[in-house]
Amino acid sequence: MMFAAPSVLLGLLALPGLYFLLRLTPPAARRVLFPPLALLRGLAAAERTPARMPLWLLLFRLLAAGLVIVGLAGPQLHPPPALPGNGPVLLVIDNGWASASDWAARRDAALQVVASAQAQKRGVALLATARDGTNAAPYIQGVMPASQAGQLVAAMQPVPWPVDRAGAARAASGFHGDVVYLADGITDGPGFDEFMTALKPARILSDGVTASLLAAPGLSGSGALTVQLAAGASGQHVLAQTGAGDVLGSAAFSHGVATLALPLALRNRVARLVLDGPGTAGATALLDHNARGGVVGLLAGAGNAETPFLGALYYARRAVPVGCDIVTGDLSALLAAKVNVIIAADAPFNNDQVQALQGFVQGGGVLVRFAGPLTADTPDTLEPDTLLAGDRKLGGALTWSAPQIFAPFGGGTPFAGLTIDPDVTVSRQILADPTQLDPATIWASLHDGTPLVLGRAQGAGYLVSVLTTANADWSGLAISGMYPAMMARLVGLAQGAPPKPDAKLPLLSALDAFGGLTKTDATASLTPQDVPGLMVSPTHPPGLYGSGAALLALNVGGHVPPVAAATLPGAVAFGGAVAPLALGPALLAAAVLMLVLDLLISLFMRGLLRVPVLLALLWLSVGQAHAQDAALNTSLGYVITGDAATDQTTADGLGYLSALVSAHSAAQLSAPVGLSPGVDDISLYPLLYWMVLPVSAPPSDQACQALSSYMQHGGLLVIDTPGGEAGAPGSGSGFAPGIEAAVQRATACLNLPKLAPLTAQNVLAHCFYIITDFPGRFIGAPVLIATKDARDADGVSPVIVGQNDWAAAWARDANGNPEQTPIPDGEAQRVVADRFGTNLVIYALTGSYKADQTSLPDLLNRLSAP
Amino acid sequence: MSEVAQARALAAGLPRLLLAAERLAHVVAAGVHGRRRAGAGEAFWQFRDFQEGDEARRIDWRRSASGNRLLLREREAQVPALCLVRLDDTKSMRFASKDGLPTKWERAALLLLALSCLLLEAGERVALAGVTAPMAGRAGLPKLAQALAAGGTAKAEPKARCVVFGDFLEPAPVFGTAPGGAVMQVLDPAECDFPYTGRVVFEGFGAPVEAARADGWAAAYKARLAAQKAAVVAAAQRSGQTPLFHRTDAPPAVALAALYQALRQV
Repeated sequence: MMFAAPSVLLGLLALPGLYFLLRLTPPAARRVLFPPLALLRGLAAAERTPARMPLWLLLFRLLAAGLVIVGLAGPQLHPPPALPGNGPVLLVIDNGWASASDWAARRDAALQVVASAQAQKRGVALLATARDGTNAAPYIQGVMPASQAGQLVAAMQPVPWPVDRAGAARAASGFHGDVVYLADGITDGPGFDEFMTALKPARILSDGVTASLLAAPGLSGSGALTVQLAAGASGQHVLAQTGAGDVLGSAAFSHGVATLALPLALRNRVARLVLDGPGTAGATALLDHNARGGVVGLLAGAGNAETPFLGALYYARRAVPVGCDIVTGDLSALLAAKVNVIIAADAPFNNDQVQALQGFVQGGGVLVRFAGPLTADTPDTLEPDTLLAGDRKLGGALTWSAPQIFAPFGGGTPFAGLTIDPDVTVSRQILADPTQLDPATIWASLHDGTPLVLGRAQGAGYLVSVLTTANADWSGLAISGMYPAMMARLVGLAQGAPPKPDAKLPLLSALDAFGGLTKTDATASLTPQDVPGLMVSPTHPPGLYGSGAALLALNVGGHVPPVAAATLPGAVAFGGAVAPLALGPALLAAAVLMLVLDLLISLFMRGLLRVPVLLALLWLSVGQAHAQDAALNTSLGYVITGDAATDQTTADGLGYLSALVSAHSAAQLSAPVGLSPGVDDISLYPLLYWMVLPVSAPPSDQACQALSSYMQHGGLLVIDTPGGEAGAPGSGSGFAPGIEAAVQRATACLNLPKLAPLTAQNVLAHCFYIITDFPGRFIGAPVLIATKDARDADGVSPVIVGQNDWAAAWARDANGNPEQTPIPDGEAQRVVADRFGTNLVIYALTGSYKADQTSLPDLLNRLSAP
Repeated sequence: MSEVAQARALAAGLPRLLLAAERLAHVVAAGVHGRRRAGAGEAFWQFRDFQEGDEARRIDWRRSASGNRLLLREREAQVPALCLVRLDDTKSMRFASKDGLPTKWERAALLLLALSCLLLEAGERVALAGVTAPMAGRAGLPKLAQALAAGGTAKAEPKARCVVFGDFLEPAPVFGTAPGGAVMQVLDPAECDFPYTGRVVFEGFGAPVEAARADGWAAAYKARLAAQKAAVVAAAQRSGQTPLFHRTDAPPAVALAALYQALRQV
């Protein structure tokens, strides 16, 4: 506890003086009307000493005055701790990516240091250890007055790249003064010891938490998103977020890897994986094309296309890269499935199909055609280049040449960088017309220069022809490792071509230290081939690089030095550091409250304020709230039995029923309300559910009166029991011995109308659902309803009596699971019970309004008859 | 509040006051006591033979036809006494120290009307002194009540017994000269007990009186009040009236019974 203005406390010395002053001042006089005034005149001389203020009031006022004085003195609960030494203070703050997760606490801790320095009237110098956006090496700001340093600290922000230990060490080595180091708790590589030696911190503040780091997001073999936890606590969850921040899935880490299996349509919407918790650059993994798969359509060709080891699609299916979804079907089915890639093995197309496919390619699709005997003789126009009819055989009995191997892939083709497999030979192919061949369309050729793969960009998509078969008939390509590699490149074309390895990609959106992605006009850029081994820095900030669809993500994880917890001798935790708490305003507020109370007391003592008036006002404002609530919101009521378990079940049952009716009809019901008839006002509830137990005591006279009046004035009283006597009808027989007597006891004073069994002809059986049984947890016992003569003017029964334990069938627990099992039919019976409950509520709300629905079919029949 | 509005407010409360008065009157039930001689009363007294000089229209023809004598129906003579009632209408009467207690005026009016009810039912005549003419019969009671509420022009007072209700707090009270009446002093419990403590400013008519410590004044005040009550009693007895006393927190039936007894003794 510390006081901002301790001198004000001297005012406490004045309190004894105030004591005597208050003792001397008589309390304000009460003014009363008194007719025999004449008799009083002249008595005044008898007693001159005024009445004194009561002692308790005196103490009360002194306390209020004391509170004012102490409050004005400005007490603080958690004053900032004193700093070591007495020279200027160098505040070294780690503001790299690892400090973002609790930056607010760090800033508070730093501000506290500055406040301490201010209290000790010491200058402050600041050193942020990370390079700033201009890539300037860390430098010391100051020494400056503490207030100015406080403003700088408050404006300081973390950066999404690592700190520069060596630079900070160089900057700090020239400083003479006491160093306070606000550490992020990680070493960030080998220079840490030198850094600490140069710093010689007098005090180290650390929260002892190692920052979390996500690394290597990608697709698993099964097409699930995976991400590794490179640093941080393993109990965290990973969330898959869209670009707009919607969470599409979450997963926990197992052995440092989190796997999110999502349907493809969802998975391709995932823009980033983040850790559940405060957003930081380290806990964010941006996804690029590497983590997106396309939808590949395999065009069903001839009947044997799927035959194991023989069919063309058998191999194609296995060559499609992981993460892609595969759709098989005819052309219209594939186009309807919005595939990115269509693989057609030896499939001739008619004119309509050619047109549809041209549209598909123009719109960004990739059509990969394989040659084969069916298409060899009748080449159509849907080819990158003109093909010759017929085929060329190599290495056969009648040919001179041997089967050819692949020539190395050209640098400008999509296959650039793939190594060729010398074991793959092509023994049969079709030929492109050499006279019309455009050299740019040759993506792969054989060793003798014959084109084997032709490709051409058309619109936003690509048209690719592989001039050999998709199975092992004509070449060994389909059974080689080159096949999936080439296929991956072809599929990759569909999602926008992956950036070329040596292309210079500009920074499109930069990731800030808190994991936010913002468009930037920074001039940073990188080339994809540099990415492995690249460290994020001001020149290469994390974020998305590239333009258009082909984006490359540079994440913090994997591009910072390995993270290890730093050894910080004598570190003080700042996480628990509480900001200074000023008690003054609270004390002053309390004093003001006491003075207001004192005013009321004075008024009361002078007879100007009457307690009943106050109480009445209070009652009016508070007491009416409940009734008002019930009047404004329709809700079901139930009689409180006093048995906690039963009441809970009833409340749950009616709660579920209210939700059910609200969901399926125009009625909007609030949560049910437990009531004690005779005490609470039950007239506001359309339906009152009364569970009578064998041990229930008969209702009191007031309760009887209230219930009778409720039934007379349009309420629907539902009397239920938890089963019946042994030998009673229905499946509830034997569940509640003694219930018959209990019901008679309970209803003896009620003057129930004449009752008859409820039948399926009653409105209750078809006012919402058409039902023939009225089960609850039990079924079969007769349900009683007032006879036609005993109903009210609208033909609505004021009471329904059953022993099917309806509420227990309706009751669902907090998770929506049923609480009790209906006997004997289980869930099927519960469905009917729920329907009966719905009917019951609709009946209570609408009365016989639905009665004419009985004859509706007949009316419709008659209307439609000629 | 203007006088008219005050009267209206009172008139609105009249049925209640009347009912209460009648109920109270029947607690102190008393029958009509005839004078047991023939006269101009209403009740049948006796038949007697027709004599010379009797008017022919007084013959009870039906009775006479059953015999062979001419008979006259005689009624019992009743000589109603006149009783004046008077209610002190000063402002000090409109005082009640607590919610729930009637003001002194209300209680005095209740007693007055109840007494009038008793007297009227007993065949006496009652007049509100100086305001109304003497009234007889039950129908007189509402008129009395209205006159009580509305006040009225001063009329000559016949010389008769008088029952005076008031608080008689002003010095040296004087009562009428006709003997046989009663003086009912009605006081509020606060006026009797002086339950005030601490610093109190007493307001009323004239300058307020401030008591620095009201609890110290109780004894002296009670002594003065006792002297005032004694003066009232003395003045009443001097003029031949029965002095009576009533507190507004006491049951009114007791006071009414005492009043009725005091009047009947004469």
